[in-house]
Amino acid sequence: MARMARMARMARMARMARHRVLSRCLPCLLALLACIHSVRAAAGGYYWGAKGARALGRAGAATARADDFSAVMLNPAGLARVGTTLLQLGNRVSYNRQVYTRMPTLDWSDLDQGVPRYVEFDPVHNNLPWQPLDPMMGVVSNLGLRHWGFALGVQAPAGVAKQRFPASGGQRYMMLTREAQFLYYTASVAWKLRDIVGVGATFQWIHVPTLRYELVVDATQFPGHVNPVSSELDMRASIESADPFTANAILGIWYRPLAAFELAASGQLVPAQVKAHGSLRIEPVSTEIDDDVVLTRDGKAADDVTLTMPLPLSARVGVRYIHNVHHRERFDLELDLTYETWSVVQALIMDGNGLEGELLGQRLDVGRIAIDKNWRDTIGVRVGGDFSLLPQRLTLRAGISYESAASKPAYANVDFLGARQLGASVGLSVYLRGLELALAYSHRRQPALRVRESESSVYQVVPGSQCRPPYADPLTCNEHYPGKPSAPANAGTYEAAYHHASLGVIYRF
Amino acid sequence: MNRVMLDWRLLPLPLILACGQPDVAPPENIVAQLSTDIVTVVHVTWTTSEPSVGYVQFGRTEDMDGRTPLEAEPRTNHSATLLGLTSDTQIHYRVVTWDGEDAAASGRGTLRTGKLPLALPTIVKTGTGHDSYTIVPLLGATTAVAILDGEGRYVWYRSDDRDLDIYRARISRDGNSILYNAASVSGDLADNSEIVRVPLDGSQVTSTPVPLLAHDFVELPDGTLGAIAVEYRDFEGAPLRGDKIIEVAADGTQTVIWTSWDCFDPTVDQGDDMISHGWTFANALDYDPQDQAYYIGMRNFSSIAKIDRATGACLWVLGSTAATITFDDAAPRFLHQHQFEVRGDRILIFDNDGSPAMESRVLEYSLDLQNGVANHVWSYLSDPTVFSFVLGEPTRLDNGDTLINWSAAGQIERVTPDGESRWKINTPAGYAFGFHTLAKTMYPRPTPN
Repeated sequence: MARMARMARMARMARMARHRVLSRCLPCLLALLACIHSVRAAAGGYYWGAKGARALGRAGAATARADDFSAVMLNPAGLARVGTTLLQLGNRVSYNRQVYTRMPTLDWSDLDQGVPRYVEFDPVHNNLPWQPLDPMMGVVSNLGLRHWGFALGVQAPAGVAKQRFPASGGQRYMMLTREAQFLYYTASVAWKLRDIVGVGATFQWIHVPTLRYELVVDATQFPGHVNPVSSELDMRASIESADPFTANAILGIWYRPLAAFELAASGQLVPAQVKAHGSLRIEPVSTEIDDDVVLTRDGKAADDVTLTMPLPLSARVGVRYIHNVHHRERFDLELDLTYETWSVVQALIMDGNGLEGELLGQRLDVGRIAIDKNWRDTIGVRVGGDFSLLPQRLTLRAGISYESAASKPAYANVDFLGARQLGASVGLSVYLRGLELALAYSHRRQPALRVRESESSVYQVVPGSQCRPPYADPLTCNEHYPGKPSAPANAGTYEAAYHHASLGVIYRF
Repeated sequence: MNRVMLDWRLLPLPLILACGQPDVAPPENIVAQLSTDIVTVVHVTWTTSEPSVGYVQFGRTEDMDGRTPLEAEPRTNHSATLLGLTSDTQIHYRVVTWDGEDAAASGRGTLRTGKLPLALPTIVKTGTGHDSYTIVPLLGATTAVAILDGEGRYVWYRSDDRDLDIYRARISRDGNSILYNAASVSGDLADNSEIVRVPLDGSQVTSTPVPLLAHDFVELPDGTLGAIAVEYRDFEGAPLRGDKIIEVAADGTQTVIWTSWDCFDPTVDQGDDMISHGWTFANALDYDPQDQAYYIGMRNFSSIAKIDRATGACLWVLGSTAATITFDDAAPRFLHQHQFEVRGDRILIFDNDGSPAMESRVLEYSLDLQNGVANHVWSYLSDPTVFSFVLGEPTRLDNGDTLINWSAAGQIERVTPDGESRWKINTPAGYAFGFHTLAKTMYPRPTPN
């Protein structure tokens, strides 16, 4: 009995010591969270994949497994099982190789005796493939309450934060550059009933410090004219905006009817959209045009615009098998299915609210630029698991994933390459007392997607065009593109491969 | 025991699914071969699985800066003719198609054009050429029609073995053929003269007989041919050789638009060489589609007249006989001129005999029709001087230079406005050039009526 009392006293002291450490570290953590702005993290854009080295190592198959800070996104109910206090820091380094080769076309603006030039395009690459900073940091604690879990942290959703393609490339009428910095500040709470069932919720403050988008528009106003390859009146349209606050929430649940079997589900259930306010700048691409484009509204100088990006709802379900040996988990295997309502994204819309541009005495209606998406809902399948090679010393993990295409081929665009993706991941964790070092590598590949001009539904933005639906008026629409507002802009071959390496440091008090 | 077997044959399926949409179907069965008639002409044929329009991109370098016309109607069996090629030259080509929405191209091919027939005279060039093709008859030991590129190289030719001369050749307005007149104006006139139509690919030659054709003809925007022909009428008990403008419609119908007797009276307007050359001796013809008027040059009158196509009336006459326009006092006069060019209020004239020495020249006048005065503004003598006793034609180029065809001397020359000679081509002795026409392209688009 005395021995048991001594052990209980030592355990109490250990818990008190951990709380002391936590109380000392909390100011540091808060300071870290506060300075993340100055880091200007290369946060994700429209996202896919998994964050956190442990989750990434099993290809994101962690809806049921969720037992670290990544649970705030994957399944907040998992936080109730953490059972202690943990501090988690992580970073993901990515190499995002994206290649686009525009489909050859006939340049109906370059006629020799009525015969158009056949134009072939060189492949263009994302000139910013490296994404070195993609952090995640948070703290999870049960605050001494056996059935509860709480979390606080910040992270960027997984994705490609920055893209830059050549100004003269074949993709110019789709996009030149995009920078989307999303930061998710999260607060989560979870509760469990013994080890049978648990529920949790995450509340998110989505902060978009920078949302920048550049593309080339054709300012030609001649009725029926079309410039499929380039125009003397090409304009670089740049939208720079930010959205300080968008609210979102994630709910989750897990249920473990058997020691070896677990079910889990989570979902992002609050309709939301990023509505970023900023400015529009339009400048001639040609160096031979000295005049600037003057933007006005109701005759007064103005450049303010709103860029709207709808966010999807999502649902994840997971089923996990746990293989225990002597009451210790030796390995697990999880199958996750995800469903995301990307169909809410019909277009990225820049609303200029009646903004007009004037160049060389010509007026341009730039009140609304819509980049058509017409996305569809996606399904993801992930299979992954952990294997405890050396219990409490070394864990190996691996997984594979598949995500269906958000973008129909007709609406493919270099800004968000929304084609189907295949992925494979490997990872490991090394444990040193309370410290866990987790490493993961993931490779995702988007098989080549070819879009013909006949399939294309993304067209050059021509603000001065008088061609109106159904785009059949021979006086205002071009005879070679019947039924289309202007020349197709997105025909071509899209290829992408992503390499992610993630390091996570988890300290359990 | 049932076993779940993996069907390995299904393994490629994900790969196929991953490959996305197929590419646009390229043109197939491409065959390129030299014309059997003209070694600088290449026929290309190809097929497509779906109806499409297409063209052939071609050239002497891999840039392939030439294009055949775009086919007018979608089809699955296609052909095109490559023109403007020089002899014994490697060319690169590929077929481009457009099915209404998607463009596609074949792989690149190469072909070598053939060597010119030995009968064609060698042309020597000096200086820098121009940017047009010159369609010109060759007279001498060989009678032929040739098309020379801006550097004076043969890109098309057709020998004509009939015992007639060729004075004028031009690309038809539909862009498909070469038209030329086969006639005789020196010695006995030809009853079997005709206007010949040769497709640019050299096949299926057709002709329209027009008896007693003279030097020149034009093609009107609607395809009607207007030509000078000789007409005889009784004058003081003997046949007098005058001229007429005759129009040949597409269906072959021939209509006389004007005769020398409509404007002139042989008892009053007699001119030179009436006994040896006949009366008016018309030798050059132009047409102004805007005014719907002909310009006709008459050697023996040393005059040029503007004729209303509808009425046959002479609107004005410039020259030495029956003139309605007088020269300013200092203006040199032209004599026995041949071709000319009316451009706005200016007229360029090839003056065969007007210079005091044995030399031909080009004169340019400004026409003040209000006051009926022609003012001399420019003239040019070649250095060394040349004499062309017949034919000869000046053409003002878009850049202000003048292309001068010293026909009988076998020389074509480009000169600047200040009289600097920039380019010459010369035939060997014994050859002459007929009248020329210029074309910016070997594929002129049909002119709207």
